[in-house]
Amino acid sequence: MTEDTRIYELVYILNPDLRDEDLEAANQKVHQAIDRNDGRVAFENHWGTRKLAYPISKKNQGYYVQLHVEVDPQNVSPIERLLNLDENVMRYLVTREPANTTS
Amino acid sequence: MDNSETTAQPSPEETAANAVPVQPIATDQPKEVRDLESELTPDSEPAPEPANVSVESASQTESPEPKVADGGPPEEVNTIEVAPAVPFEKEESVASEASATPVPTVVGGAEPSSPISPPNAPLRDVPSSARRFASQSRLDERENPDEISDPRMRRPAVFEVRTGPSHSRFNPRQPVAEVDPSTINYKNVSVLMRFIDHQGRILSRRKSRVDAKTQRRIKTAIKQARHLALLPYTPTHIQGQRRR
Repeated sequence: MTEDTRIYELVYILNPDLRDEDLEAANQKVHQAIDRNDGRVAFENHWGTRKLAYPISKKNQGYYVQLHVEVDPQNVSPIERLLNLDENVMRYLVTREPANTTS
Repeated sequence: MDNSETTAQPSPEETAANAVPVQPIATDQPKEVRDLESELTPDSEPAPEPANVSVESASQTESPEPKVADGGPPEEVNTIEVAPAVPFEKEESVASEASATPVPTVVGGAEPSSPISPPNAPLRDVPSSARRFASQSRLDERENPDEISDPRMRRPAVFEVRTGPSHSRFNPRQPVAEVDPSTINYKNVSVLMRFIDHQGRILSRRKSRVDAKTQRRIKTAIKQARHLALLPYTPTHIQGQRRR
């Protein structure tokens, strides 16, 4: 909508115990949350199932997904709210200015 | 070659006087001095280099020298006599006792020159080579810590340096790891791992020895990585992982 968009980096951890299609559905749900807030996914990278440094909700692994989202800064918090409500998103992190995409 | 030429320029009188007798010196020196100096050159001392270059040039131009005698090449040959005087003076800090002996021998070889220099040449070689052995052994000791590629082996040497009075929190001499600040982000876990201790705690600036800006980036990145379970918060996390 407005020209005031920024590129944010969003990394979130999905429940790795889901079956593949459910995992895909959970991922789509995140994409829909972004679409609904006029965001555009510029880059998507699945890190896949990784070992967690510490257990989160009694799970030792997580399915990591990294996105670059171009979105109005005002619409970031609604997206975060939806991510908080999503049970399958174990953790997420939104940062400005995607840094070098390593590992 | 630049150094040898500069040292050769102020001594045209010597070239005229020594043009003929220099020849045996040039032939004698490469055998011993060359071997020693070829080992000496990696020591990064500026002084021995001109001597080495001049010796090589002399050995290369051995045959044409007697014919030309007064031309350009003899100046380079003369640097063999001049150049050793330069390292001797500069290395006085390394080996002070030796500095006294070689200088007079050089003068004796240069100025009385023509009739005396052939007997002088071997005399001059012995002390110079002897003290080069001495200085070389010390240089080797100095050089060894730099050659160790394993960073863990280098740490003690670094600590020795830090014990001096100039040691200060705001005089970071050696970071715990050389890091390009632009590579620090929460995804680069392998880099961040070097800035936490075995308990998962962020290293203080006193230990990490990076500048304040980099330390801020590291701090933020580690905390972000912890949130995403890329790094542990506490040692119990580490232990808990081992248990399972």
